[in-house]
Amino acid sequence: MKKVYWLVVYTVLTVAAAVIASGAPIPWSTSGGGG
Amino acid sequence: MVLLVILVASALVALIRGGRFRNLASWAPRWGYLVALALVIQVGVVYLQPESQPLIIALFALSLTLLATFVVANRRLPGMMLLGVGLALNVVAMAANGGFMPVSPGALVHAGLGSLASLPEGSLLEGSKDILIWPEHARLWWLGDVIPLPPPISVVLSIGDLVVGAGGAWYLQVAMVSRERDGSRAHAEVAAP
Repeated sequence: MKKVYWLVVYTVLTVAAAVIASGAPIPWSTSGGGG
Repeated sequence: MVLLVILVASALVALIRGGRFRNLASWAPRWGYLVALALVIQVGVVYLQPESQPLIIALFALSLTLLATFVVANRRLPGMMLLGVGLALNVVAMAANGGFMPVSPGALVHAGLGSLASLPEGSLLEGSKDILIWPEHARLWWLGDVIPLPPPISVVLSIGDLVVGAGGAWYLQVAMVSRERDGSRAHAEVAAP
């Protein structure tokens, strides 16, 4: 059960990071130059 | 941040459709550390702001190469090829414009970022991968950041960004909603050499 939990956390974080990094915008942008 | 909103919205839709986060365990991607490393590099470049443009371009290129490797390694996962297409569109736009994503003054004005639009052409926008270029001077300008979202969102997206978001959303729909048995089979296929 614990292994499944961490696997889900890993999957969510990895996919979110992949989408953020693959998009041209930097979401932490102070200039807003992107999304 | 808009891309994260797309993912959250997709997850909510998946939950409404009867999906579960638990099902994601059967669709876990491989080589997640590549993505983490790519993101760390991008954050480092944006916040540390090296003065050397060639260094910035090299670090962006390294980051995008890591992401491309991740996508290829997980190409059998749902939505991952679409994410890869979006990544490729952004890479093409950046490669055609000296390693940076072109954004036009007009798009910035429509996004409520008019103060940035008055910067000299060729200015790198702080905290982003963007370079300010007039559309008539940019190569493949239509692949650049050309889709402004007005305040209070105030961001400018590219076509590639939307495709990337669609890929991530597709992944969540399939991975969360599909039955675990099906997911396990797909995961086994992914894990196969």
